[in-house]
This record gives sequence, structure tokens and C-alpha cells, in this order.
Amino acid sequence: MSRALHAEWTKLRTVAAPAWLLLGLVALTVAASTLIASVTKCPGSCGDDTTKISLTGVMLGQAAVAGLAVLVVTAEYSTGMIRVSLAATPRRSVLLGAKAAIVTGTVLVAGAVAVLGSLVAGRELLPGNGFTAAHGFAALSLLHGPTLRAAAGSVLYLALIGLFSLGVGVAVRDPAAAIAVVLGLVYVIPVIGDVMLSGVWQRRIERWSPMDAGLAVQVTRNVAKQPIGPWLGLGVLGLWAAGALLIGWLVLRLRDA
Amino acid sequence: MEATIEVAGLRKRYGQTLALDGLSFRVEPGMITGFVGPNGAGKSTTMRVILGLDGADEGTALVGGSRYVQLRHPLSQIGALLDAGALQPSRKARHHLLWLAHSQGLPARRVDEVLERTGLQSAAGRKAGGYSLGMRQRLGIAAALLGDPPVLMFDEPFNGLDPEGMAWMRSFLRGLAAEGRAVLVSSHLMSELQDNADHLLVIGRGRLLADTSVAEMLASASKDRVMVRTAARAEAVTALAKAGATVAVTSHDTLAVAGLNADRIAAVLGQQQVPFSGLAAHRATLEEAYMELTRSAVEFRGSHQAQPAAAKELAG
Amino acid sequence: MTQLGTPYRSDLRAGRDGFWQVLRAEWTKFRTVRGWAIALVAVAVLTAVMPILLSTPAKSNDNVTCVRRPGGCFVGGQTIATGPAGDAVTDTFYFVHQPMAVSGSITARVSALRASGNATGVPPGYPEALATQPWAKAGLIIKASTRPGSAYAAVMLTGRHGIRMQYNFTQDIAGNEPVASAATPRWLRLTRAGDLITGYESPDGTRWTRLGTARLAGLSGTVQAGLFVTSPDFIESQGSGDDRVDLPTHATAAFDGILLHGGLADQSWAGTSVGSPPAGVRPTLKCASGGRCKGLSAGGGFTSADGRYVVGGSGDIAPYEPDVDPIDVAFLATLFGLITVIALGAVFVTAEYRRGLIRTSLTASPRRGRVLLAKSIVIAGVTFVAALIGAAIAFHVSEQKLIANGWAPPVWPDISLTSGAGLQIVLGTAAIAAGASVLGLAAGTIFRRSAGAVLAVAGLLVIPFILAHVLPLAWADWLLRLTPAAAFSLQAGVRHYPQVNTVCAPYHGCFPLAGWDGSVVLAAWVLVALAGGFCLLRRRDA
Repeated sequence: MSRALHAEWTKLRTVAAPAWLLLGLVALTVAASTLIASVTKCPGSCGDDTTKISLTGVMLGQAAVAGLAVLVVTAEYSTGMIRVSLAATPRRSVLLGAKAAIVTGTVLVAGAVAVLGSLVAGRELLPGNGFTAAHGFAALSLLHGPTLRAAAGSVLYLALIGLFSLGVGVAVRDPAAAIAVVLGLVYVIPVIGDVMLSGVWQRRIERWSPMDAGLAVQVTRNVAKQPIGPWLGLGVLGLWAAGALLIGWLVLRLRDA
Repeated sequence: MEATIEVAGLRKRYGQTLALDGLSFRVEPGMITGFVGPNGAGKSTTMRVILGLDGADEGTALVGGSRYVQLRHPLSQIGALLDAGALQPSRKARHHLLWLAHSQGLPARRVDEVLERTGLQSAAGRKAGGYSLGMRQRLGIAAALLGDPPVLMFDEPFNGLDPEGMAWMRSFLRGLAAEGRAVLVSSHLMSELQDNADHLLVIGRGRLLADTSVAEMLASASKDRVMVRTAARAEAVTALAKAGATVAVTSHDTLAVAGLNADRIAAVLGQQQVPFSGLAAHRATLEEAYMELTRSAVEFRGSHQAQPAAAKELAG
Repeated sequence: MTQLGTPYRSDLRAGRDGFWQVLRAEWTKFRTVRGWAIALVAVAVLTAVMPILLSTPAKSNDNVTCVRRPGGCFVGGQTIATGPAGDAVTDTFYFVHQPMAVSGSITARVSALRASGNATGVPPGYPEALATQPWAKAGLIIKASTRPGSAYAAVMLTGRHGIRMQYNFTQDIAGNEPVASAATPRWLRLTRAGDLITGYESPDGTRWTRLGTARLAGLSGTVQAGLFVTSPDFIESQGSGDDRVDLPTHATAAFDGILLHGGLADQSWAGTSVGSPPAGVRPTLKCASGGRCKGLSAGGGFTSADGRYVVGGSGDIAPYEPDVDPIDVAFLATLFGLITVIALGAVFVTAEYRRGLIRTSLTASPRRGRVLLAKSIVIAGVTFVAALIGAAIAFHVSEQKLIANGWAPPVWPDISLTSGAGLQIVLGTAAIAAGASVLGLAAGTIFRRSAGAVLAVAGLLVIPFILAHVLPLAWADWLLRLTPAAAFSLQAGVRHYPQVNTVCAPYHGCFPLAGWDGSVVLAAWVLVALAGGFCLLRRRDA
């Protein structure tokens, strides 16, 4: 396993795309978080949650994570390198495990940078927009339990999106199809959930879609009123990731490379 | 004179690498022109420039007197096979030819004709992705023949073919040239070209090293060299050197002698009573002639230097 | 030895040359890959099925369904009437009126249009709720009857939109003087000749400018003419989601110099609160937890002294725009099909780069612009047709389901597939698909990698919706004006009028650009992307 890991790490760092995507993860997350923190004002959005506002960029940054995870596997299929990889690491589960570990590791590191950057931006910008003690908002701090949970949870969220995308990539093999499936499930379902005209279904989507459920971990106000609890929501995303990886593993085992 | 492919002063640079450095030549009709040079010499780049796929920094490449992009029916002017794998694997072979035919306004009947000519009729309904390398080469040639062009250009058509495939390809190329077409074939396999090409273009590091007929090239490489087989190698070397010859040891019992003709060598060795068992005017292979020409132009020379090919032949 | 053979001459007749051949070749390319045909079927199926799935469980709840009581249909305290064209309208105002014969005229000077009434329940941060509303109206009106929804024509002073002539709810003519202060007195006049009403305005009562004429179909016999004042709800949403304020407002205006020709004998001015919901329907002021407020209608009335009439009123005379546009919301689900379309467009070109087939293509058709254009036309054509079929099915079934679920007239229009709005939705969905496919194709040409192309284009199309939910509304508006997502305005089932103040939220199916304007934005993106793709395709070595 350690050799397979080393090989995957070498593969990842010796081409340019993964580094750019990881950079894109940090840049997109921090930029979007900064934008949203700078335009959200109280009064107007006094009902909002400052931690969640500061971490909104994660919604954009995850696109880069999805791209990275999908590419890590589909690029091998489109070039035929997968046959070389399987010749070097014949055990499918070891290969998949190594890929999953590398994606998780790199996304955790880049995701932590992105999340901390976003929180710093929120901490600097939000008090100037009226989110002050007078309106009942304390400055963002990682010493605040729920904020720490939201930050750590957001990093884990990004890693789980990576694992989910990796699973889809292994199962689908074609880069365009895999990206389409991931974007459809991660982005389009919440958009539909937002507009859903049926309250029952809206709640179902908020509880069970990968993004809505997973991002419940960012909520620090009125936690009890949310459709799903913070860790439970992240657990739902974990189920999606596990399911995708399981299907990917089955396809990898059963289908010819 | 019918204009076929005319290349004048091509220069192309990829970053630091000068891929083409003032390359000029023209390809004549009715014969097979071999286009040879070591890896990275610029053969494929030249072909891509001729087809307007890559742009040259300087110089022109004309097909039938026009720049490729200006051709109204390009595939009726020149047919090319650059990469047999350039297919969409999920498309059937027949359909691959069909869209090409449509792009030239050619009837679907033409697809069947080229399939028949390349012997692919029975496999035409299969997906191109399932084709063997030899079949892909045939499919690529069928595509090149689609417009029935007077000029054909093949990049490494012998690569990866089995002996049967090679024989087929050889006679096929001969047949095309015999019809009066100009055929430009790049290859590393000198033995293939020796028997088939009429004319040779040798390039190295983007420059034209030779533009000559095969016969002339062979003659120039063979000139003035005589192979001497002898058990008394040291004595023979001394005797011949004293007589003014340049002597190269090619194996434990053979010498390559230049500067003296065979009669004179026999006389010198007889005079000095050096025994020798064979004396033959050296007939160079095309490969040898090519090695000679490109030696300086080889870019990626291995650390283990190969022995001259002629020596190996004699030793074996 | 130089051997010169006879140059080869082909006896093959050269085919026709031109763009048509390239187009035909690209079409042959597309139809001979089975995976692409399957993807195309998937586009049609997703486009058809997803909106149907979305509309099936969508029951309209009490807040938005019409509550029928004596006096009409009420939604959230507002009276919904049916206008002359059969559309849902709001027709609530205070009317000081007299009967008028077949021909006649009414003239008056209007001044001091101001917000009035009590201002309880205004949350902090919304001072505009207390000001005169931009679309507060005071002026003269000739109306078939006092029944809400009956035909009318009116000239009026507005809070911030100058002098207008409006008739039959949807028609709005701006006056010559765009900015007329509410405080500045203006002379207004309406004349009637049978069913033809003409509106005039004047700064001094002597120099008159004609504003426009309105032919009110079926306006015969005696009608009601007089003074009116009304002031629409203050609706505002600064933040995202539920930070929404909806308050009734009230305005008063003074009228003098009133001159009525063609009035009937023995009549005097009578006051009627037209379209006011009966007590109990419109709840007294109540703010929901999220700051969403619904207040009481202040009703209206008038006082007169020395020929000077002060009239106060609340409500609006305008088309009714429901908050939620259910068919548009259902059609947002076509995003699933769109992502497939984008992937198909991208792959149609990246598949050529994957194995070097692009070289064969460019050898066969050396004019690269033609190849790109031919590919665009083919992919746009096939995706248009697939999405059209899907959208027609989706529309037909979704509309039936929505109506069965309570999204029905009079509040929501019953749109037929062959009506203008229905065709716009179905053709618009197909056009969006065609545009998205070409965007995917252009991105594929630029990136030469399908993953990057799909990520970029799908992101551009979907992420505005995600951000629209978290950004303040003003920013969300701009996002949906500038990104290709603007084209979703084509799927609107509810028409939006500039003279109606609503909160236009994308998650309610409202887009800042109207109808085909949004498709211009998408078209601009497509053209820019294609131009970029063309430049790179031409400049780069294949």
C-alpha cells in the first residue's frame, strides 16, 4: 500500500493540472467567501449566520475538488495509462485506496488553507457591514466551539466531495460524463431544492442531497431548527461518498480495464 | 513538370528546439520517395506543415502549387496517413470513411471502392477501436486514397506491421507509384526503402542532408572500400597502412580498407606474404549509407555506441 | 538514376466544394457514434422527466392559493380580479365617482400626492416603506363599473414615475414629463367618445398635451368617472432568502378645479373602496419570524371642502404578479438535461483531440473556421431538437399537474402549449440547450480537455443559481443578468411588468431580464466563446 501511495503521489505532483486545481480550490473558496462577506450587510441579512457567510466560498471551491478527483482517475482511462497502473498495482482495491488517500490528503491540506483564509476574510469584513456586537454578533473565532466545528467540518466536507467525485470517476471512466454526473448531483439538486414547490420534498432534498446535507456542518445559529444536524449532515455526504466509492470499486473489479 | 509537393526554406521552432532549419525539397511523381532521418529530425513536423496542421515560422510548403489551406478539394490533391490511431474508437470503420467522403463531396460509393482496394470490406462494419494495428494502417491508407489523389504521403507506414502486412504494404506502395502517383514515405526501416524507394530525402536536425536517388546513395557509400578477411590481422594492417591505405578493423578477422583498389591490396598483401582468405569490394547497405550521413545529426545517441552495421554483417 | 513516370491523373470527378460538405461530414461524424445518440436521447428524457417530477408533488399551499369569499378571490389579503383580457389583476383603490354618459370628459388639478396612514410594523432598515411609493397613483379614471377587474382608462400622477396614462391593467404610457414631483400640481383630463378614451395633461390647465388614447372594447352606455388614489404594497428584500418585507401603504392626494362634462343629472360624488377585501380576509399587521410582514389595508376615504377634494387610498391597479412562477420553477429542472448537453458539446470536439483525429478532420477541411462552425451548427441542431421534444412533453404534462395541484387560474395563468407564452417556454428551453451545447463545444475547443470544458461551462450556468441564494438580491440580480443563466428568463410563465413592484427572486422563478433579452446574453457568451475557440484553433498547431 505504501508503494502504491508513493506512486500515486508521484503521479499527482508530476503533472501540472492537480496543482492548478488545488490552487483553484483555495483561490475560488477565499475569493467567493470574501465577495459574499463584503456584500452581505446587517440590517438586511441580520438573520444570517456569520460563520456560514464566511464559509460560503466552499460551495464554489468544491468544483475544483470535483475536477481534481475526477481527473485523477479519468485521465488514466483517456490515455490508457490505467493499464500501466494496474500492471504496477494489480490489486484494484489497493490502487483505489491509494488514489483515495492521495485525493483526501491533498484536499485536506488545501481545504484547510482555503477555510482559514475565508474565516480571516469574514472576521475582517463582517463587523464593518453591521455584524457587530450591537446586533448580537461576536467576532469570528476558532475558539468558539460551533465555529471550530464549522471550519473543521468544511475541510472534511471538501475531502468527502473529493472522495465522492473519485468514486463517480472510477465508475463512469469518461471525464466529461463523470464531471457531468458530479455537477448534476452536487449542484443541480440543491438548486432544484431551493425552488421546490413542495415543502415535503424541499425538506427531503435539504436532508439527503450531498451538498445541502453536507454543508449543514457550517451552521452555527439556530442549529436545532435546521433540517438536519451538522454532523449527521456530513454523515449523509459520507454515505454518498462511500456509495460512490463502492460502485467505483465494483466497476473497477468487474469490468475490464 | 507536374507540381506535387514543394517545400522551400521551412523553418520552425518549438520553444528552444529548432525543429526545421531551412528545409527545401520537392517530391517527383511516379516514384516512391523515402523520407528518412533519425527520431526528432523533423519528418513528422514537415508532414504536418505540408498539411497545414502546423504553421511554419518561415518558408512555404506547396501541394500541387498551392498552400494546403487554399486547396478546394484537399483530399483529391494529396492523401496522407500520419497516425493510424487517429480514429474515434467507437465509430465503425465504414463510417469513418463516410464522413471523410462527405467532407469532400464524394459519393458513398467511393468508400466501398477504397475499402475493397485495401481489403477491408469484410471488416468495414466493425468499430475502428477494435482494429489491430495492421488493419488501422489499412484503414488510414483507405482514407488517404479516398479522393484518388496524385500525391500520397505516409508517415512510418511499416511501423508495427507483421511480415505479411509489410509485404502487402510494399507492393501496395509500388503499385501506387506505378500508377504515376508521387509517394512520399517516411521510415526508419532502411531495408524496406532499399528495395522500394526510388529516391531519398535524408534529414537530420531539421536540415536536408541528402536529396538523391537510392542508387547514387548506395554507390557513394560503397565507393573505394574493400573488405579483407585475414587471420593475420596485425600484419595486414601494417602492410596496407605502409602502402598508403586507410584501414579500419571491423572484427577479429576483417578489415575495411579504403584508398587502394582490390587488385592493389591483393598485390601488397601478396608481396608482404600476409595470408588472407577473402577480398571483396564492399557493397554498402542503405542502412550503412544512412548511418554515415546521419551520424552527426543523431540527437539522441545512446550511451552504448552501436558498432557499424557493415561490421556486424560480416562478423555474423 | 531519376525515373520520371507519367504523373497520375484521377478520373474521379471532384465533388462539390464548400461549407455544405463540411457540415454534412460533421453530421455524419455525429450520427455514427452510438454513445452520442444515446446521450441525445438522455437529453430529451431528462428534459421531459425532471420538470414533471418537480411539478408532481408541488401542491400550492394556503398562502398562495386563491381563497374564495363573497367579493372575489383573495391571496394573502389581496383581491385578485380577472381583467378584461382574462388575466389576474389587482384592482384595489379608492374611487370618488359619478356616472358618465357615452360622451363626456373629466378634468382636475392634482397636487400633493403623499404617503399617509400609520406606519406601524416597519422593521428597521427599511425607511423607504414610509416614503411615497414610486408607484403610488392619484388621478382621473373612467371605468366600466366599480366591479374589480372591469375595463378602465386613467391618467395619473405617480410617486416617482411621472405622469402616466394606463388602461386595462397591462397598458402603460409614460407622460411627456418624466419627472413630475408629487408636490407639483398638474392638470389632468380624460375624454370619452364611446369606447375611445383620450388622456391629456397640462402644467397650467390651458396648454394641454395628449398622452394617448385607449379603445376599451365593449365600453358602452353609462360608465363611472372620477378621482382615484391608490398606493401599492411596499415589497423589499435586501438579503437573501427570507429577509423579505411586505407592507401595505397608503397615500393621499388633493384634487381641485374638477370639471365633469357628460355627467348625469342629479348626481353627486360618491366614494367607493373598489376591490378592498372584506374584513377578516386581509389580516391585521403580522410579522413572521423571518421578518416577513403582511399588514392591513388602510382602506380609503375622501373629504371635500370648497371644491377641493382630499382622497386617500391603498392598493394597486395593475396586473397581478404571483410571487411564485410554478412553470418556470419546474423548468429549472431542465438543468439536468443541460449539463448532459454541455458534456455532449464538449466531447464532440475533445474526442477529436484525444486520439489526434482532429488532424484528419483539418486535413480533410483545412479551413478551420468552417469546421468549428459546422460542428457548432450540428451540435446546436441536434440538441435543439432533442430539448424541444423533451420540453414539449415536459410542458404539456407539468402544466396539467400544476393546475391539478392548485396552480390554477385566476391567480396563475393556464398557459397553452401553442400560446405565445407556451411556445416561448418550449422553444426557449430548446434554444438554451442549443446555446449551452455550443458553449460546451467552444470551451472544448479552447481547453481541448472535456473535463475542464464541462466544469467551466456547467459552472458558469449552474453556480449563479447557487450564489443567487446566498448573495444579496441586488447582486444575485446582476449575476443573472451577466452570466449565461440569464437565458432562463425564457422559461417564465408569469409575465412581469415594469409598473408592478415585486421582488424578483430566481428561486421563485423570476429573472431580472425579461423573455428573449436573456437569450441575447447567452448568445453573446456563445459568440465570444466561439470567437475565442476560433482564434485558438487557427493559431495553434493541430
